[in-house]
Amino acid sequence: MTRRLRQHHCGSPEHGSNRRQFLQAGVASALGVSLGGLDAAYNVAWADELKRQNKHVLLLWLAGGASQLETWDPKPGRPTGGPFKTIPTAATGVHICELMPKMAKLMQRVAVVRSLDTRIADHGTAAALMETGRTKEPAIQHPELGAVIARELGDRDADVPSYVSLYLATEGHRRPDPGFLGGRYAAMHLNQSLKPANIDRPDGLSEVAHAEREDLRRFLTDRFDRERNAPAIKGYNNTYARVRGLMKSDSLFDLEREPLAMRDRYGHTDFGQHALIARRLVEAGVPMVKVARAWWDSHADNFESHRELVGELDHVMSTLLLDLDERGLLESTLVVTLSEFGRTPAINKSVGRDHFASAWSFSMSGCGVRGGSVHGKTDQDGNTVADGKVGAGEVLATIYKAVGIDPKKEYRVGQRPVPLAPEGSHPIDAVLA
Amino acid sequence: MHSSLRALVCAVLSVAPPADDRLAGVDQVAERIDQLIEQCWQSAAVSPAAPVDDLSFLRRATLDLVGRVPTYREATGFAADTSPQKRAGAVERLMSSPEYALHWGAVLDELIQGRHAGDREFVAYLRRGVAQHKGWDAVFREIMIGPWDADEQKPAARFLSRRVRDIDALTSDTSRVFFGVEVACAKCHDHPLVSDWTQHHYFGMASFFNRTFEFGKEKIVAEKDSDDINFVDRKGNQHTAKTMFLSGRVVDEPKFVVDPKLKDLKDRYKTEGKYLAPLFSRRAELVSVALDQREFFSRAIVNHIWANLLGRGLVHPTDQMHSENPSSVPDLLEFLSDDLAAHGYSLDRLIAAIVSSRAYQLSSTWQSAAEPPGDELFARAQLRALTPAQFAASAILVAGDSALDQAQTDDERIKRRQELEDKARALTESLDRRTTNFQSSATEALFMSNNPAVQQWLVPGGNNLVARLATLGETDKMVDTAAWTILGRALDADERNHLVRWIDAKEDRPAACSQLVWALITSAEFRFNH
Repeated sequence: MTRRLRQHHCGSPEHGSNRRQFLQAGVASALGVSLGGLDAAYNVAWADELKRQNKHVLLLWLAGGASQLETWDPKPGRPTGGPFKTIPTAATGVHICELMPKMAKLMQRVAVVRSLDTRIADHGTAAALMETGRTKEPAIQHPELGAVIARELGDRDADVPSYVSLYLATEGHRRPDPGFLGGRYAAMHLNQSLKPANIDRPDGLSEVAHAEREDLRRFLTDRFDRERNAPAIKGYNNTYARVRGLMKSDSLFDLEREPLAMRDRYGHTDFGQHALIARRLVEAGVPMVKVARAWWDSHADNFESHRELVGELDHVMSTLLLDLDERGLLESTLVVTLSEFGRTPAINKSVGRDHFASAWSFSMSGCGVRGGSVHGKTDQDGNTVADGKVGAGEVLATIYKAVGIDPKKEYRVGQRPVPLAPEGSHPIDAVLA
Repeated sequence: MHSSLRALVCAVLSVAPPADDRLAGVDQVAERIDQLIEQCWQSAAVSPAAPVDDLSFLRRATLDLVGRVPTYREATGFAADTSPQKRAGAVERLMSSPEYALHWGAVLDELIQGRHAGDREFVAYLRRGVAQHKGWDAVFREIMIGPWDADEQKPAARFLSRRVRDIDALTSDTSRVFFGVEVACAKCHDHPLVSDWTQHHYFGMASFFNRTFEFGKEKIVAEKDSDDINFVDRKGNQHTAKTMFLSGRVVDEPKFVVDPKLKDLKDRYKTEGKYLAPLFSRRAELVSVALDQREFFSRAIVNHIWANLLGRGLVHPTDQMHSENPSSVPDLLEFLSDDLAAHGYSLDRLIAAIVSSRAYQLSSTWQSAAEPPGDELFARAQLRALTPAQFAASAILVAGDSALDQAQTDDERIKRRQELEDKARALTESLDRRTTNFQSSATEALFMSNNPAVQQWLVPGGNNLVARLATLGETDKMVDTAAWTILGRALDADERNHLVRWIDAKEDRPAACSQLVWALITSAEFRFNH
């Protein structure tokens, strides 16, 4: 089954959207009923239901491009296979690379998609593609996955951030972009230290003084709103009202509060400790966490670097899944491992593998996932997708559906309806529970 | 005459009108705006909001014309001015200030460059243009075809050079910025909503850019002599795109006899040793046809400027100008764009007329029992979030010393203002961008609440506001001064009582002063243009 990826969705009937609805939307706009920007009105009851279920997405972003051959789609014995063997897993008939023995035991909780063909093999462009499901368009800035999850699963007035992104490496670093969803859904982005920016009370200002001046700010703002009654002013006040709660979430980032045994369990690597923070955040109700591990870009010595990186991934990811499970959180947390692309089956002169977007893999575990399932396959050397080709749009649609978000739901940007997953991209139902 | 040569001659002839005449007739334009809008209100049976009060007007106009809030001296001076013409006087003063070009250069940069805004040399180029009262047609021409030889003119090529490897961006951004039209949807199929736009329009517009490329080590924006776009329509038919403007006008291409050995510019460059302009420039043709069939061009800029000053375009959204989405005020867009074209595409004239109009000078409050009117009727001023640059510069200005007020000469004023801008630049990344439906973020609220750079404004030092307030003994003087400096207005009795009591209840008065300044700067009244 092959689906064509489309670059632009405009709500055209040719793209399968409902023309009448679209025209009505346009008319409503002309009458000033629903104006510009993002239309906030949608099915509130359904959204509330989702939020009550308290679901989370935890994205392990393998920046630089992890090799599918040394992880989820090994080709032992083939010229492209490299030195590593495959091992059987807890999921009958599913074999993965021997570098992942711990994950092998957990494969009944994991789904693998081995048939990504995303075409773009340039780091920045491909990362944007995988995180928005779309190639860049000049006229509209699509939000990335994390911002959409934050909006769909987050509680507007929560004391915890709705999206935290941990990306302390410089390689492949991109600032998460909420696009047209706007600042409310921007990530709390940690790229300098594990401490969120501006979360500490300023020196010399007591807690009481901090609260009192906020009361004064609110008094002045409410007076200003009296004869205006403007949503933008109320939203502005609501944002400031979250400040004190967010300042308290400071402790979530403090691993000193975690028992030493737990820190040992995750391992004293940056990736391990970041994954532990991610678990703390999820436990505290943060709906979207992204943890980046860089830099997988193994143009040289692919096997040495993957021995180390995949070993670490195996340990951290398996620890995370078990820890979430023990806390009863895996049912409600979707853990995704994803890169911007995979690596070439062909091994280059430097014993490296290069950028490769034509036939690669990603995995999903936990919430909404049919454990032990595999979708798609590549040919015997891994050069092409042999079955079940999917693209970035399908990845997004599948992630959304796994946590109960309708991928066809539309945002209105100006007059244009924009579906969460690009038009024509369907969830990969084979990997969903 | 050869077309690119013609364009060049036009560029040379487009000289700025003398400054004195520049704003002659603005009052009549403003009156016509009022007439057309009032007719619109009548037919919609709405009564507009009350006129904006003087000090709110001053704040609004100062933000819109020079990009910052008024200083204490400007606000109190305006309040004391008893002239009946003081609003017109303020507009003239603001538009004659060197800060006007600094601000509008940055506004045009945002408009033209969008996500690529912020290139200092490009901004400087635009600022020089505003200071020289360059017509919008001349800006467009320089951006599309140069000349880019002189150092001062070189940055004009940045619009193209930032997009030169992406023909979709060239096509789409040019159409949105200069013609108010979003054609990207027509790339894959005829536009679903707008019968005006077909694939032929998209690829027709793209054809003006398909020969544009980056040349040589210096990365000159260059144009090839040949090449066409082929595309397949939804029925599977293959087409060679015509070079076609949005109006449907097709540009004919002369056949040149070119030495087959020198068939393209790269070969000619090798032979002749320098960059050569193409024999026929499609971009020059775009400039000619766009200025000839000028409705798209003139209406788009009027709509953009209107949206900047009123918070919403006459056609909304501003990149959706087409036959099924007319201006919400009949005839106004047509009138203003005709007037603009008839007066050398003078943005000064357009801006002055809009800020002199009744619609611009309405209150943003709504006191009537009736439902507030829809935004598209412009019967009430809309709240517009300050841009990060306006917000940061204004906050630093009001909290700081009053150096800007003390500037004696234009040069000194420019210097002070640029210092302010440099300080502001460090903060803008953390502040929320202005969007149609403004959404404030936790990032900004946390930044304003806790960032050391912000707290630094509140520490008494030198001649900054907190230090000045501390020297005022009486609390009511203190709160009055703070309000005049930050909000640019007097407090009403309730507010004054509340603030005085609030301060007097604190043991540590200097600390209370700092808190007061923080609360005023972070209040919505300061965060928005209203």
